[in-house]
Amino acid sequence: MRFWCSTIEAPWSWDFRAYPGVWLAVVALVLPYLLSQGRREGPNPDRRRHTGLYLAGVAALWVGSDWPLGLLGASYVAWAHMVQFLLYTIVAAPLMLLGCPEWMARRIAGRLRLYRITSRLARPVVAGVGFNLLLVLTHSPWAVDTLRSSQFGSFAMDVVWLGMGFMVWLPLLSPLPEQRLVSYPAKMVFLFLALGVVPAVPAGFLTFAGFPLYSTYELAPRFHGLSATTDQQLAGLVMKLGGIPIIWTIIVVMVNRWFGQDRSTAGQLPTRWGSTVIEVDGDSNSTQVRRETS
Amino acid sequence: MARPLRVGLLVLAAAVIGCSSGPVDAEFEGLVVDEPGLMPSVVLTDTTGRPFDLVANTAGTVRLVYFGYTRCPDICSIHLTQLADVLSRPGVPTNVTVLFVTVDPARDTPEVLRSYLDGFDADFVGLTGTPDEVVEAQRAFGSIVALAESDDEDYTMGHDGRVFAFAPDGIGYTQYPHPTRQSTWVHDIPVLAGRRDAASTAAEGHDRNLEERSPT
Repeated sequence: MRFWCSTIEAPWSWDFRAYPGVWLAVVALVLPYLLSQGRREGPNPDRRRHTGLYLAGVAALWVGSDWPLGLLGASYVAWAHMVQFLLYTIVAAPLMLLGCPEWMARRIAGRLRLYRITSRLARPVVAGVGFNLLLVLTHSPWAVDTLRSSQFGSFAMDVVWLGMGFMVWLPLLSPLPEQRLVSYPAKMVFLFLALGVVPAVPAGFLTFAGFPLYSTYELAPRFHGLSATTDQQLAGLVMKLGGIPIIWTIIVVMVNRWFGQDRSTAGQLPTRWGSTVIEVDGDSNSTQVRRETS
Repeated sequence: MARPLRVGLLVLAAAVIGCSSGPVDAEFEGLVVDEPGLMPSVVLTDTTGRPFDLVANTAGTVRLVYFGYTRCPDICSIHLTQLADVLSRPGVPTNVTVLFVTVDPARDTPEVLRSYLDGFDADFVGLTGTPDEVVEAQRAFGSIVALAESDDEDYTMGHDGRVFAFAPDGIGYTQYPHPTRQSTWVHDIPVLAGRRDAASTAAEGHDRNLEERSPT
């Protein structure tokens, strides 16, 4: 029995395989959280929402690590490897951050002496550059072929991915408000550059490479007849396009909030474009457009 | 001259001499055969039930000979998938014949073989024979003779994982063990295809001349 999904040589089969290490990891993430929530004596606003978000994040982690997706990604097809990566970094990590209440984050940061390091990692340049450097490193043929071939290596890669996810989302979603970016434009630019633009470069390499880059997937028994080249092109597309719906939805939500914020704080000062004047009536929440004549 | 410098120069000279005297054939990325020999003349049975002469029926092509079986759980399908992928690439020579010789003739009937190979490429040639013929074929190619690994009904076969490659001139310059990557195949197949004997090159030139002279 194997504890963590890693490369195997047997042909792909839909017969269930158990990976107890994944279950242990899930328990290790959920149990302390629930116990901590249950024992909380002070104020605990949004407890149900936090718990739901955190459990959803752990569920995404579980789906990405366990059979069948975990095994497919570790041993058979590059596209599953990319789906795993997206699940870890842009689904599980942000949900877990959103599900972590401030009091819990302060307690963890205090006990594990993580405050200083998380504050540094939450700087946008550090988070963005660090995330993308690790992205390139963990998707290099050497790293994939070496780490995926052993259970420990495969586990290490998954841990690094989760850590990368936390790092890149800290400037936006850190449970500690002082670590978060304040301005919406800065948040949107960070999100667009760190998660939208730079990852498209390695994705392009995968999509347009002349040969399969990863021997792990090239020399694996075929998954439903999918050729190694097509699989790699699919992986590139998943990496390039997979995050777009999530990232752009978040950007649209931010734009809405930004405008909402402006509307509530702008007072009734008119906005001008040439001779056109837009006035917002804060009481009736209505907008009036008029044209000035000279 | 300072001692470290002298030692450094000696090491460098030794390295240069060592590199230039090795039997490295940089033309190929596959395993280069020390003493390349002619392709053995073996006659087996193809999937239509007709006799198939491995040399005569494939003359003028690159021959890639592999001894495997259809119930192989791992490397056979990987080799064949790799070859199917590589041979479908634009720019890869088309005069390549893949010969899949079953080492399990009891279960790999011609129909089973054909159906299996069609899953990869309909042009792959499936070959079988009596158990003795199949063993003789493996010996002739210098392949490790395959053996059943158990007495179970669902037995697996221990067999050679190499693909034996022969150029159009009939000489086996290289072999390709498992795993062989696509980049290696794409590099070596054109080199193999370029190794033609004088007779076939002359015959091709003659044909080309005739084509050019013939009225359209």
